[in-house]
Amino acid sequence: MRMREHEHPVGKEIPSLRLRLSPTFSLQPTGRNRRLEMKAKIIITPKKAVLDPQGKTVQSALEHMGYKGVGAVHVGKYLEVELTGGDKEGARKQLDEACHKFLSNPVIEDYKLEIAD
Amino acid sequence: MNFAVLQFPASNCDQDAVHAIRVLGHSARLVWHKENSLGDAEAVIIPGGFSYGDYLRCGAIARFSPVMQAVKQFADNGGLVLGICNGFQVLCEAGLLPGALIRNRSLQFRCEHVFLKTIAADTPFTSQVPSGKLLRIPIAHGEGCYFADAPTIARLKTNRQILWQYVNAQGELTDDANPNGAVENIAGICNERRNVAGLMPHPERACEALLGSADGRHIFESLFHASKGKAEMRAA
Repeated sequence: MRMREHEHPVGKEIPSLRLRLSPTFSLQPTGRNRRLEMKAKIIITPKKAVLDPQGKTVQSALEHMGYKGVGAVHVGKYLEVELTGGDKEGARKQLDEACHKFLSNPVIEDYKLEIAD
Repeated sequence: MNFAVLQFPASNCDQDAVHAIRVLGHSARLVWHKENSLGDAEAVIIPGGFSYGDYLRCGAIARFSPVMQAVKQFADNGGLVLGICNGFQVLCEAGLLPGALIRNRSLQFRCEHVFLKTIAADTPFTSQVPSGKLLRIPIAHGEGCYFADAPTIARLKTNRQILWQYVNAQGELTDDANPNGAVENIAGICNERRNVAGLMPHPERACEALLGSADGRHIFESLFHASKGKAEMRAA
């Protein structure tokens, strides 16, 4: 099928190159060579006792825009980690340690770790 | 006295620290973050600025650098370490000081002179601050709001680890004098052993009258004094 010029080739297979363009336009190998099996999703949020001026500012902006029923807002971070091994429990253990030691700071932040197949 | 001043990618107060130490008649050497040794340094300054883009959190990546492993060992052996601004953040992330530094309550980058009250005078970082003198020293940070949980703050007080608090020109602890929302107006603390300290204000930028204040000298002079005391003890 011939694409019109303004169309992005997102998600379209290009057989001669064996590449697929992802929606973010990065080139990733597909098929047999790709070993990606799982993805870890990590959500980091400020602890309740810690001042969260960003959350407060966003909350008041939402109120100014006229959105009703907006309570406290907490601004955190979201990380995605691609995992290439097949051992889900092993990966969880390792990432839990990394979250505690490095990816979050337990003095000021909480984290939630999820591993999706 | 020989100082090692660390240099991370994006440190920007390293040269100021070296300049201040030299102006005060002592020697300083820049130590690149990939080095494993601090050489013959008698004290270490972790300067302000940024480090490794401060990705994830300020100081979170810098703490894993080779030079920080040497700093940990140096501190464990009783060596004097002073972290200024980003250096304070690195020391907290490294676990060499308790607590953490978070976004300023105002969400603004604050760049101005503040007044500091010295709370504990019996440390290598404060001994030469004249009794009752308020230090007028500049700050320049967006993430300088000191936070620690209530038990940690109680421990800091019991052990007299709070070195400096933000006050107004009259020396009063007020909310208006607190530029970043720090718990208890805390501007700087030390560890329990009293050989590692960190503060958000920049004493190295206040060592010459030409720069608007020379009050930062008292902090460096405290370090010189402590080192002299150590050398005399070794000689005796």
